[in-house]
Amino acid sequence: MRIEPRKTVEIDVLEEDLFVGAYSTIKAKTGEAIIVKGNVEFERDCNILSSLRAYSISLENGGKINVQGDLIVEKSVRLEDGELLVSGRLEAEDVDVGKLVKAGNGLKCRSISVGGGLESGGDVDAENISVGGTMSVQGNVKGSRLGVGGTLTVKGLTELEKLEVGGVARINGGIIMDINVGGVFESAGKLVFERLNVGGVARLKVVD
Amino acid sequence: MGIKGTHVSVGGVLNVDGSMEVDEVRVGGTVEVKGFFKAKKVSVGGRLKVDENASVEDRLEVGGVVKIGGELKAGMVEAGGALEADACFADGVKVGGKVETRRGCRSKTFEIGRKGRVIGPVVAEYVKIGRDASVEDVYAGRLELLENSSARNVYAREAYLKHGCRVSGELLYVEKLELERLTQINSRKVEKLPEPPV
Repeated sequence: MRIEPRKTVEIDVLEEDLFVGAYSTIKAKTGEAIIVKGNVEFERDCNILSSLRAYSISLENGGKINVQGDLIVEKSVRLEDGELLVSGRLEAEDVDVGKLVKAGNGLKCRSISVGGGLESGGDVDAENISVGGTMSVQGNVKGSRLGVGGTLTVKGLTELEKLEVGGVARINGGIIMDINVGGVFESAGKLVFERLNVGGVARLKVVD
Repeated sequence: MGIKGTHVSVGGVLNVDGSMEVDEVRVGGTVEVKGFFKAKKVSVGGRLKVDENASVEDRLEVGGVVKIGGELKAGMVEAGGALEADACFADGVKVGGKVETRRGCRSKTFEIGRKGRVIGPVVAEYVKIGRDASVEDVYAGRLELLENSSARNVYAREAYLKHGCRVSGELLYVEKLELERLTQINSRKVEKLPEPPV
């Protein structure tokens, strides 16, 4: 199915691939979610006024994909030069986004790579997380490896095998086996670790 | 236990607002622990400050100052500047500048550097007081007071005092006393020395 640019289209369940033209709006015809059993390819910016379930999604050019609900993707999300804003929950196997990912209600995936910033209003559950700039999480972080080039802020608990942050990491305690921070590392809660390596300043605070 | 880990390496400052238990700590600058501190091996370039008790199983090496609010228990303690604690119990203590304890310092070996100052009693099998240094009461198996150093009271099995040393109170010894010229003291050979305070 092909949606022409700048159109608003209602979709219920689609058994084939979907191509969405630039600056289009799509929404569920009935129910809360659009279900696409094939791939969804966006030409440029797109507003999705409901949850979206798809096999995979990709963005041809740069742009912003805005989902008013959950985004549940079976395989991959590839927005190489784009932004992904999800008001609800983001779930996928692999996520690769060039600029920004916002997940209002948390995210779960096998691996996520974001060039710019990653913001999560809930928990983050991912085996491998790589963020070039800033990562901010309101909930817990659970995974294997987390790498952030700039600044990491986690309000909940962090449970990781390896944490690498180039600049500043502020967490609220947890269990992290290997911690490497170039600049400043702050933990405001009970922290269990094996290795803590900080280039500048480490502040470890315990609130009993 | 608030902070628990194995290896900690920090280039600048490590600040722990609570207690900490780790195997090895290496910090280039300053370490400050608000609770108690337990480690196997510690190396700090500048200053180590612990508000409560501290226990370092193997070696505590600090370039500057060690300041422990409670009791320090350690293997070998080496501080370039000063060591302050309520009490210190260690295998060895070697400090360049000043040692200050309220209850005392007990170790197998104790050395204070040239022009150093020791406040509080020292109890050790071997005690070496550097040139021009001063110490209060010393309870030693073997005591060496180097040139121009001074002590308040000395209770030693053997004591060797270089020239210019002063003992302002009494010097009691059991086996041997060697004095170099110009050393003036009030010494007495005894059968048994008084019990040390720590």
